[in-house]
Amino acid sequence: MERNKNLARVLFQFEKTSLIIIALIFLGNVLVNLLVSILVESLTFSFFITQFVNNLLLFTFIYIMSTGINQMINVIPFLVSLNVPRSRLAKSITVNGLKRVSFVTVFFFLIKIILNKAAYYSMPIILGMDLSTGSLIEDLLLALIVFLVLSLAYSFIIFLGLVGGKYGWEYLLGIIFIALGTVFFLIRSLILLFAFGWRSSVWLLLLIVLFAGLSILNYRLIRNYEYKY
Amino acid sequence: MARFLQMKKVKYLFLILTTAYMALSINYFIYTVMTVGMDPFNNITAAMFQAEHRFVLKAEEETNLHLLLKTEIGQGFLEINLMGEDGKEVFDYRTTSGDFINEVIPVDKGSYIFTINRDVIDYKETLRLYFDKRYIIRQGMGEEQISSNSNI
Repeated sequence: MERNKNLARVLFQFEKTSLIIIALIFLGNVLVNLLVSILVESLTFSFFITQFVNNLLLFTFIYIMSTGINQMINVIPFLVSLNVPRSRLAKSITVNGLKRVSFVTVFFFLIKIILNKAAYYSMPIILGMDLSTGSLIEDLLLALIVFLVLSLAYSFIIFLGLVGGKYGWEYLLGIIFIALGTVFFLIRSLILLFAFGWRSSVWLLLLIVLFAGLSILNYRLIRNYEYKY
Repeated sequence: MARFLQMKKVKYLFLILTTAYMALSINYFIYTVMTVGMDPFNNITAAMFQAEHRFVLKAEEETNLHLLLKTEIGQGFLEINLMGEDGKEVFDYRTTSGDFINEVIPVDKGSYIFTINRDVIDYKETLRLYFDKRYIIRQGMGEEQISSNSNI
């Protein structure tokens, strides 16, 4: 238990600087948007709220991605060089990612509920769901989707780094090409998913399967990690 | 397995194959999505809005129409109707208050008349109608409308 806490502390030390930088950029952005919405008469307060929510989405996504990059570039080689048991390290990397993603998801869930209560801001229709209705089931479903998308992004980044580190840049580039190519092939279905929520249950299942698969692969790759530096 | 994956020939073969996959996907994207176009969004706000929009949808093969509609109506009604060339109703909808529908309407090969009839006051609408332009051709039938304080 104590060892796990120490590992979590080390993981946080590596991520602290990037977290501070991201938070400062986010706050600067929000401040500029607030000033613009106050100084420009034609813009309403709902403009500021829209910008705030969009920035929050973007920066939390950047935070989760930067955490993943940090862990694969700095944390894993550092802790492996200190002879930390690989299986414990692999569990810590996954669990810490899930903790951060859960925190961000709960944060989003609360913001969504607050915005629903605020009558001056109308929520958009995404994934075929009218977010302004404030239905608890739809809010929970949205939270689940945010959780899965962020977890998948985190796992994918770590997977890319581990594969690139172990097998070479050719595989890293190849996996990026496969991912981008699949998005291009499925772009019509993706737009229908975002606009109408078409086949959302299939996509949800796909996200769960991909996340589980990548987590297992990451666990195996960290367990067989070879220190090269 | 690890030794096989680290062979130079295997690495470059993997890179060439994935690059070809990426190039094919970009080609698919350009010729089936970008040139055909897909913009399902259309939003309306109006203090007063009376209009009937009619157009023909010619389906060259079996496909789906995606219809999403959110309305806030002060007074009046909104009707949406899809009728086959034989006069058979495929979809019929009428509302006099705020409503939200998200429907997938399957259509066979043939021609259909799509009618949206609005006679509303204090109106806000989010309408998304999507059909695959590779299989369905839209032809206008003319329209008449009266509106005030609107973005139409």
